[in-house]
Amino acid sequence: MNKLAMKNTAWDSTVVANTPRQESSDTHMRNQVEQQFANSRALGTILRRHAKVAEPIELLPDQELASIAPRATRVAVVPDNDMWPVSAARPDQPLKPPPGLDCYGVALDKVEIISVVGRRGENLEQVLVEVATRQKRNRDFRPVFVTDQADFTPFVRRGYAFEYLPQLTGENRTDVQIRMAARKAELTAKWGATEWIDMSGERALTEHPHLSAICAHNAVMSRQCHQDRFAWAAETLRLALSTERYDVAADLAEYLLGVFDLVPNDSRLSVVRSICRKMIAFGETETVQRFLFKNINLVRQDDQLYTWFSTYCTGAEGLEPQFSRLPSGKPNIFYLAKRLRSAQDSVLATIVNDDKASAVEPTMLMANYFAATGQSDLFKMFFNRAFAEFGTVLKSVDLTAQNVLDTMTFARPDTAATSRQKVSVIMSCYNAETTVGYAVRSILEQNHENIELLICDDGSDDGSMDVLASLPKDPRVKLFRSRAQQGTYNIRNALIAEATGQLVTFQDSDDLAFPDRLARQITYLNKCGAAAVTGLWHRISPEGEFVFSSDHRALRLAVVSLLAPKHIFESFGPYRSARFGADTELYEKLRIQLGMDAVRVLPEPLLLGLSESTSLTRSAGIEANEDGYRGPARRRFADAAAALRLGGYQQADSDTIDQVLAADGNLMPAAGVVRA
Amino acid sequence: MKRIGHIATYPARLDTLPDMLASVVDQLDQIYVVVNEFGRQEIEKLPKYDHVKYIRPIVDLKDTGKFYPRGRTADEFVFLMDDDIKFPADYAETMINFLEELPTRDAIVGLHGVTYSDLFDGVATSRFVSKFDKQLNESLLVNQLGTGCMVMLGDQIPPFEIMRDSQRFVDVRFARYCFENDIVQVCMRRPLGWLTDMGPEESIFETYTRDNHDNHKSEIGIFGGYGKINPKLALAVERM
Repeated sequence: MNKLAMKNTAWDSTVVANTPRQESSDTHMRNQVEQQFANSRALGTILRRHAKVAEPIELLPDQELASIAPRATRVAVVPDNDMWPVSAARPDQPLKPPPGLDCYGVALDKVEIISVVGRRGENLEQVLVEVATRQKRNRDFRPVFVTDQADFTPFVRRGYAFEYLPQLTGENRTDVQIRMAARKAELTAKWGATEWIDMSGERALTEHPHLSAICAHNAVMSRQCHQDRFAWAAETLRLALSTERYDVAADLAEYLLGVFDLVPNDSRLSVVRSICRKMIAFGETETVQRFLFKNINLVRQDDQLYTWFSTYCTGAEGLEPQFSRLPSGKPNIFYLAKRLRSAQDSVLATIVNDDKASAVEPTMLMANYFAATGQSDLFKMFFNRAFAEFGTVLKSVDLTAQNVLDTMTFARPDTAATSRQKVSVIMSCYNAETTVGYAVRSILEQNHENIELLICDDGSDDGSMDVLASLPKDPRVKLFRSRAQQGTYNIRNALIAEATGQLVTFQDSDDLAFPDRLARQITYLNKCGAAAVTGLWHRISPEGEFVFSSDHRALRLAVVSLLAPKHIFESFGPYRSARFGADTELYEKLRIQLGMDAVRVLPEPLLLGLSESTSLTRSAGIEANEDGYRGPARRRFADAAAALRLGGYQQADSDTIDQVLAADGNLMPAAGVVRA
Repeated sequence: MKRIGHIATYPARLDTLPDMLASVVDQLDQIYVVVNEFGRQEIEKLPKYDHVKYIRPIVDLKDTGKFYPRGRTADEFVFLMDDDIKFPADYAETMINFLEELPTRDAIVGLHGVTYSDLFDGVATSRFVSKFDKQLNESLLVNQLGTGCMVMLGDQIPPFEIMRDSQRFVDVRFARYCFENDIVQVCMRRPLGWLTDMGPEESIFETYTRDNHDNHKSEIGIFGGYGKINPKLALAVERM
């Protein structure tokens, strides 16, 4: 019997003798392991050099210790070329000193600090290759890397000096920037560096408000969880919902509900708030009702819970005066806005005369009231009061019209854009015969006149094409038709290719742009040197009532207003062929990949968007309601999109989004467009 | 039921291994010690006990040595232990008693608990650690237990094949195995200093380097976060 066989026998008899039932599978497993070891490079080396050593695993009961034959203690050889980036040419002579201290044996005084903050993996390797190649070429500097990654192997392996500089976090961004600048100065002085070279990757990733909020939250996890892990988990749930990580939110809410009895009193408010948010986002109305009643004492003291209670637990119709104010004394605008027809003048008078009601929302609520009661002059007065700050003046409106947007006219502002750049405005149109007329007019009447309007009908079966054909002839309008119905985003992709403007932007066929929308955006874009700019909007009902969200605000980001040079869309596009949500996806991509400073939001209302039951955001399954409810397909899309963002835009994640959309029937094949 | 110990060590731990073994040898029926990278001289320094068996792998298995294939059977308690921890005299008894009191059979009891952020971003601070030598007033369900001080039923130890390629992140792979097999991990309450850490003080950088490896980040995504913890069992365990 050879030595290997003897050892195996010994193992079988001593170690697994008490488990005879499993002997067969154990032997199989051991054989597998041995086979893997035999295949390994290290073992191959050993076997070649020390042919006597054949057994892969050796059992050494204490009585056998004395009989062990001596063997080489280390035979593994780490190839020297591991010190070098794969694609960098190696010097003729082997490098003796590590490249971080010298270069080719020549001591170097010049130090360059190279920031690779945010880079990791392949991304970091790429920089190291670049630096090593530059070192080889220049032979005049030595690098000191600054990293925020905890794995220092890439530097250690090459002998490069490095400094660890973790991401600073804090609520005050300016303060963070100042602290970071101080750290940079400190490191520069420490190394006597002549230069600080910024080769940071994913810098924008950490600057993105969602992601930096997560980063700051995680940074204090251990400390806060030692104090109160439920409060920490509640905040995680809030963040998960605000960053549209619905998969995470679902699990976390279930956990918090399950252990709710363990939650200390001090943390209950934040836990209840977060759980309610999740229930609302998922449309669990009955559950949220029960949960709010169960926590009625908290409801009485918290504005947010009170808002939800008044929304879900008091009936859809009729106004109960005790709910018209929040515990803090502020008006419960979200509640009131849905019950204006039941409101008494006295309730509204209290709100508008209240000192705390100096914000614009109560003014808009008053406009809503007069829209609901058909008092045009008073509606116009409060409308103009709400928009006075932005210079938008409503000249006329007919509140008896089916859609008041169709009757609104605005004073033409004197101020034009500071630049004459040509803007291509892209609009898709599907069964929009009642709205596309005013949408087009509001673009053609812009005070920035150097524009073209590219409109594509997406297979409407109403009179949309007739409306478009009947519009006054304007050489700036180019009319297209889809070859087959394909959705807004495929049309955008096709029309971007047709656009001749330096700048490109969009408008939906039921939006009404204020007359200086484009001028303001262009001016802002040029003023702040941004790569892209969006603005804000109000959603408004056909009756003329502003739509409020459950945070009592009406002003929202208008992703549709994204305006950027054509090459930005060519470089970072195309829009995904989705039925919905592709504009937000591209917007977030721009913010992450270009950085927050490059994608600005003009904090002014630029347009009005129609909100009615037939809007896309009301479609079953893909709803995006003002109370925070998101339809199931929209949530699935958001989860997949979050994975894409956090994963650094890998193709596999992008494919997953397409699969998610396709499974829900929301992937729209591109069909192309033709001139109509 | 027999009490079996699994340990993996390497020559640098010859300083602490004898004390560690001495602290548990009378509490267990059999101990298997995988001695990675041991040469003859080091082997001769190993303490000798009748029921301690040393296994020398021909390649360095690192911590995965704790999981070397020797069969999986339900009629024994398996203790996974680190070679730089000194265990108290009532260690095995206390751990087994606690394991048997749990409301589920599918549970592993340990003392070094980690729960990750549900929004884990790969940064080492994105976790809540209850270190094994610190006081813990209430037992907790956690995402991950350190494999340096835990007990389980013998049929719950992962097959070696599962652990084989996780040399730098054994705890993470083990936690993933538990999650995917519906085995809950319970970090048991204990007084301060019940276990003694004999290892060298570990710098934060070393911890980061060890724990923040890209390879295992995706695995943490599978089982990490409070949302991945069974709330009913969490409630029951914390009320024990």
